[in-house]
Amino acid sequence: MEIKEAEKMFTEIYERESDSIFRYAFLRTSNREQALDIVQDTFIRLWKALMTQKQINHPKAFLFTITRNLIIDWYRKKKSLSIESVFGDGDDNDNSSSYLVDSTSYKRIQFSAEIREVIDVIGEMEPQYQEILYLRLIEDMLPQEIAKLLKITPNLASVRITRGMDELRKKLGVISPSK
Amino acid sequence: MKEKRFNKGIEDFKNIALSEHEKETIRRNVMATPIPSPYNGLVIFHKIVQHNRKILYALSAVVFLSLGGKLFIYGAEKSVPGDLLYASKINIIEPLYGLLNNTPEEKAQFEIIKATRRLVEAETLALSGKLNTNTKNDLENKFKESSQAFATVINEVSTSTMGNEQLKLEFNAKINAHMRIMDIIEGQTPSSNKNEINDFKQTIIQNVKQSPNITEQTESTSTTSKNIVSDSSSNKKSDKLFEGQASAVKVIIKDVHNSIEKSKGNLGDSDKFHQAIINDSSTTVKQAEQLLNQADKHKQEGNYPEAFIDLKNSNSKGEEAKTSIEDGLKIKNTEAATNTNTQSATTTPNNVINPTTPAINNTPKTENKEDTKVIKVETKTENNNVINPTTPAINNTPKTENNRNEERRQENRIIDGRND
Repeated sequence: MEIKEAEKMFTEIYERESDSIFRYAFLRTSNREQALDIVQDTFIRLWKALMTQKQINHPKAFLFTITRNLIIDWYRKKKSLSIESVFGDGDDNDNSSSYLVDSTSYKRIQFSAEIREVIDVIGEMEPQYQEILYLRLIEDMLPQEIAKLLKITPNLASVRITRGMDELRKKLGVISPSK
Repeated sequence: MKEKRFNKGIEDFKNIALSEHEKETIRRNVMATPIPSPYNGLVIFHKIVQHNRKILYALSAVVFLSLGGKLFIYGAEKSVPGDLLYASKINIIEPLYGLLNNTPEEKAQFEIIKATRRLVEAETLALSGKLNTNTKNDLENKFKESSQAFATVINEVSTSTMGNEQLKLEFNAKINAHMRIMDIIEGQTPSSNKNEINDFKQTIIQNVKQSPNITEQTESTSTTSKNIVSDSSSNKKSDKLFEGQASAVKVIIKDVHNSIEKSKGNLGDSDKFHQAIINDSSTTVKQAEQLLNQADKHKQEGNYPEAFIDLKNSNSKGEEAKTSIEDGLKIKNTEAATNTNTQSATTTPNNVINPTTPAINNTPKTENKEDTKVIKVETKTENNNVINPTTPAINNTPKTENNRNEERRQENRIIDGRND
């Protein structure tokens, strides 16, 4: 891949995905500055990958994976919370189960009331559904992309999305279409 | 209601984004990040070479020499006088090889190789009908240089070990083998070339004759033989020595048989010259085997002096057979000329194709018994005898067929002092 081609591809992906990455990082770290740093680091890695001619088939999943790992590294440095309390206890099954936000720090962020409601509702659900629902509802990711990010099978991702949506509707008092 | 607020919340959430300023700042920072090149080593190399032409030329020379050098050496090794690369072979390649030889034994061995190469070159030219007076003289001079160098350096090789004796044996064996090869060639070349071949042979023989320290056994060697005789009472020591030398001879004989078998399969029906070489080698190796058996018989009888003499003669014959098959097969007829003499050659197969078929008289001679086992050189006339103290007595009963050829061969026959 030539440099110009790599630049063009980078610009396209950056324009398309930078806000998503920022949102995700911002929600999970509850710190704008930290989120900006994580976004920059994420896209530096994308830029390096493109310049060294790595093949990236799913840019969104690639970026989210990097962001997730950077967030984990940040939590490790921070040490004020155990990683397990945010990202689960590290078992294979629980890799996809994590609390969406740090319930103590996110309240410092000035979100609108509606946004807080969304966060609160999703925050009340079981950990295995929280991140999946966020990625599905907010970031509009496909089940395959979610599966790749969370390192689960697409089938499992679809099942959890369906069940999570059912549970969400219950909380919101919406009658489920299947019923 | 809840659902409406929830959906609104989702929409608001989606509006959380980077400001334009933040976006641009991050983008610029990312694009400005230095990316280490995976081709670092090559880039440095490329830069060095680009800026320093001398290094580029030196590298090109190295690559050229390593690739082209092998081809050059291969081509030069096969060259004969008159070829383009022959001068390089003599003036560059052989001196370079010579630099690798440090000990007197290695130097002596190298002189044997060089002398033999001159003979092979002469034979190649002779077989192709190209041995003219100039090239003959040139090769004679070069052979003389090598044999004199050998005669000089052999004195430095210790006589207390078998190395000195073995080197002389090898040298003489190679000369003998090549004399027979030339006999074969002489029978197959046009008559116009026969004189040159014959002259060349005579010069070689004379040259060897003039170097007594190549042909004669030294006193120290005879002392060694005496020691063997005097120590024959300690049979174990003699047995061990005998077995060691006999094993070496058996290896040579086995190698010759293998080479012969391998060569037979590769020969065409029309390749009479190489067929003759193979026949000569077969005959000679059989002689070596007979001498080896005789040596073993003498050893069992307790006659160690005779046993060692026969063993040494067997060694010599083995080396001759080996030289015959190895060097003989290297000689190619570059002209691929029609061989008009093959008809006459086939009518007298015993005399031309197998010049060494005369029976071998292996009975030990009593003439020089007082001198123990020193094999002395006896020369009758210059025309008849060539010195070879290492071959057993050859019965030179002339054949009734084609007497003229046989007479000439008798003139050139290499005999030793035990011949009647």
